[in-house]
Amino acid sequence: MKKYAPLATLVAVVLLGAGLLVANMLSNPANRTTTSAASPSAAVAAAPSEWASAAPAPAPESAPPAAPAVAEKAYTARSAGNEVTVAIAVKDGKAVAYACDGKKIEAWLEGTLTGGDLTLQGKTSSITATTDEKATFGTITVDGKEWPFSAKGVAAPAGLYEGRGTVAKVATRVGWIVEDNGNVTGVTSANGTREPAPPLDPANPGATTIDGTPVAVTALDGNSEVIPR
Amino acid sequence: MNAHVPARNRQTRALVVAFGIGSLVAVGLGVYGSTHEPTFFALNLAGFSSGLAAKAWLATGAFLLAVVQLVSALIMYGRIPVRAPSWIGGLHRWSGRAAVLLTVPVAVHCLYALGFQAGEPRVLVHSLFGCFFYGAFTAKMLVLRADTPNWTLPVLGGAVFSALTALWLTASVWFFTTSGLTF
Repeated sequence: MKKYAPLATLVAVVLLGAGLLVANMLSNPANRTTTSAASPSAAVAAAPSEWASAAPAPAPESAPPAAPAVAEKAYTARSAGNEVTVAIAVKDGKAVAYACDGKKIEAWLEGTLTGGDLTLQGKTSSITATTDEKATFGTITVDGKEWPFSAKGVAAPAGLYEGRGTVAKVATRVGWIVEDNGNVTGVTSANGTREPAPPLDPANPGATTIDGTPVAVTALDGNSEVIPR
Repeated sequence: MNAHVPARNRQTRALVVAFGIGSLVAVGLGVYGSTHEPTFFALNLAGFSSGLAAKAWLATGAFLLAVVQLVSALIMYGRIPVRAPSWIGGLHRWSGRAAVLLTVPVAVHCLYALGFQAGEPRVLVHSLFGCFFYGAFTAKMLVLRADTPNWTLPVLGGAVFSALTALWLTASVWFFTTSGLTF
């Protein structure tokens, strides 16, 4: 028996890991498939479920089913009642989005473009929309509030920008939306609190600072990695 | 059953098997982490303010137990001039088991919710060491009862300890310095 003690330890590690992984998968809200056939919600449920069947062992991602309608593009919009500004970038079937009101509300989302169907998910937000080269129409939900929007395709420097820095030892994240009329809307988030973002000059993003601390700013495309919030 | 195989060959073979399986584990975790879509969702442990805080404290517990590992190993190898108590082996085994089990929920969260990321140096180093840690740990467990050269056990033990320390520094310590000592 003693001979196999190290193996027993290994097995215990594997079992605990596999158990936790399965528990995570079972409780992940994105994995709960809805039975209703209503088209928008069914579309939301369909996208994440492709990895719901992924085994705990290394599992390669399955290929996206339909070719994206748009290769690479950015869109910006105000929601119908001007509650939030929305920016969406798509590239090679992947999509990222940022929405904020310039004061307190913000959401980072990540998702896919399958055909013309855009589905993005944030931590407490989601977007479902249809898109072509010129425009994206859809609905954004943030913390239970739902706003329709129609976004038009924009060219750089319009689009979405992310800033990261360590301000007073606190990891700080900023999101900006630059519209094609030059308007900039943004929110700074640090330690769980949100406030209006510092000004961003899209022509000179390197000059952005918060309280004198420089912030690294990147223009995001659909392929960028964002952390959904 | 391999009595006719020279001892040296047998040792080399056991070594290659243990290191080979360990390498496969490390690479496999890396491949899983980078190919599967990060979910940014994971179960939260009761009693902690956030998943991050829970991870930071679990890893801190594992690190403290790893220090016990280091000290007890040094005593067993006679590197600390104290008489090894009879229970030192048991202490080493059980603190090690507890330590590695503490790391599992942390690693599952990392792999499932975040995946292998290379966006900034801290994150890249953490991802690499995360994969390396379980590979080295697997190899160390396999070497324990196998007929491998004497140097393999302390080298692997040292690698496991160093990797865990690096993981702790790049995650828990980073978390505590940015968010404060929150539970």
